[in-house]
Amino acid sequence: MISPMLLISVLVSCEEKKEDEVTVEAYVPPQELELPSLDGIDVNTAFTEAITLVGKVQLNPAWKGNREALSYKRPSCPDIYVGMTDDIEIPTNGVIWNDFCNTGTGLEFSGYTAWVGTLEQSGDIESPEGNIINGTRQMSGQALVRVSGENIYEFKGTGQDALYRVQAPNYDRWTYSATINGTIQGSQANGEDAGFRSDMYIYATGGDANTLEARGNVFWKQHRIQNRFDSAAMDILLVDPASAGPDDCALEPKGWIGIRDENSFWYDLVFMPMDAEDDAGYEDEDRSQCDGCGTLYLRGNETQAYGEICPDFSSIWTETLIDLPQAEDFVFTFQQAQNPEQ
Amino acid sequence: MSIPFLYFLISCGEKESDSATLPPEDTSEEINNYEPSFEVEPSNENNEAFDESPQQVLNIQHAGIWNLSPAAGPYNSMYGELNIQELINGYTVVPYCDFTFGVTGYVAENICDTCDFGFSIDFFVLEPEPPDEETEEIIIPEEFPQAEDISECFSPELPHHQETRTLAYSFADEMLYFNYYNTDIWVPWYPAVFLNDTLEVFYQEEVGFFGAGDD
Repeated sequence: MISPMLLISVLVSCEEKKEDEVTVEAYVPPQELELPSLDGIDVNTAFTEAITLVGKVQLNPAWKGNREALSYKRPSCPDIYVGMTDDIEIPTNGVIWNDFCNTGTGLEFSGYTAWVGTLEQSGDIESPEGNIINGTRQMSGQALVRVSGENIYEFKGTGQDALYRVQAPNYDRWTYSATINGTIQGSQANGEDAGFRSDMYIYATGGDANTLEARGNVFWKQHRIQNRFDSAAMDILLVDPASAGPDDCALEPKGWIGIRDENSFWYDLVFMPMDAEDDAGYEDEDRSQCDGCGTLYLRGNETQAYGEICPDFSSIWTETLIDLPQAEDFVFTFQQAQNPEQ
Repeated sequence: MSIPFLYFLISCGEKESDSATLPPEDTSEEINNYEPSFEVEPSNENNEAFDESPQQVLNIQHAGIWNLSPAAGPYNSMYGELNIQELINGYTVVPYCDFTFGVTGYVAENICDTCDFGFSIDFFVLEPEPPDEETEEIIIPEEFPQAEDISECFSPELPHHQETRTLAYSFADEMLYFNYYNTDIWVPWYPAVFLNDTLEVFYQEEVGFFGAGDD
């Protein structure tokens, strides 16, 4: 005899199965991803421009903006601080302004900025040994400086950079690295529309061999690449074809770069793998060939709807790709901040 | 093998087939933050100047007399002292920092363009003079911190004991300039007045003070 409990259980199961049953009428096939139109967009150039702009994601704008803002300092506005506190992040031996004030001339300081720079410089640029510059900078802050409603300097987050450069007659060799975790913008920082929010790390070499490594994300507050793309994300290594070694691919970089349009579509262009072991996602050899072209992914799906994407990065290697700081840019002392009129 | 374990294996297999090097499928985060990420509080209603004041201040004073020789110049050496004093909230009875450098220098050839003479100067911390036997010893309450070593003073970029720095003087600016760590970048350092083969150095600042820390 079947137990009543078991019978009830079976009936309930059947009922549940009936409810879950998918009928032919109710089936809705997965919708095909509607590809955004890129009419009027030069996709190749857009990727190239993204790399050019990423070269500007460095500490210089924040350092310059802070220094320029403090050139308008008045006694006690803003106040320069020393001492130790757990409330704000201060680089070791850093100088700090911290205030919420009006200079009386229309300039408003609010928040804080802490900074420290180190510099070693030796040698003569005209000598065979050359001139050597070794500088570092660190900043942290949550600062906004405005005049008449215009935002002249805004820095929120942390940043650091380092330059090592050797210059001698007919010789120039430098390495520069920067990490920005935060927002930098303002007319005295990076100009009217070049403000950004970023967690980007860049490492560049130049002089005798140009390379650029970039890893992270950047969102431009106002600037749009080809009036369309507001962000870039990447993990990429580019080598100047003019300085590529025999084992380097001069036609295309390694890694990937993504640009995002304002409708939140990411266009990810994947090139050769970063290193020999890092070959996941390259199921066939065609995708990892040194052919100057990348594989385009849209929302994670490979697409060839926009044709071959083969950006020419050879044009990025100009002297303005990285705004190299000069030796004096690493020096901003307590006295200079406190007494800008000197 | 249980079904959950099988499912786990399948899941892991699917994960492994994902491309590790490819970017995330889509963050699709709408970012419309074009405003400053840090807002300024409005000023007071009358739009008068507003200014937050530090809760604590540190009075910094570096002062000393430096003797130049030979008399009437051109000078090729100097000696003197530089007293470093820091007072928390102007409290003079117990300075937070109170040290004296002895300074000796020899003429420096490389000086700034606007300077008239300069020295390569050795800074060495002098031992504090022992108190007179007749002087009553001041017992310092714990709530008044005191720097035990010159490295604990808060004046930025003080010389270390036995450090050598190049400073040069400009008559026109009445200023000593510092060859910033021998980088050939000259920055204004100490106001100083030249009088009868001496330089009277006097630098004073009042700055906000966060505190001396827990230690």
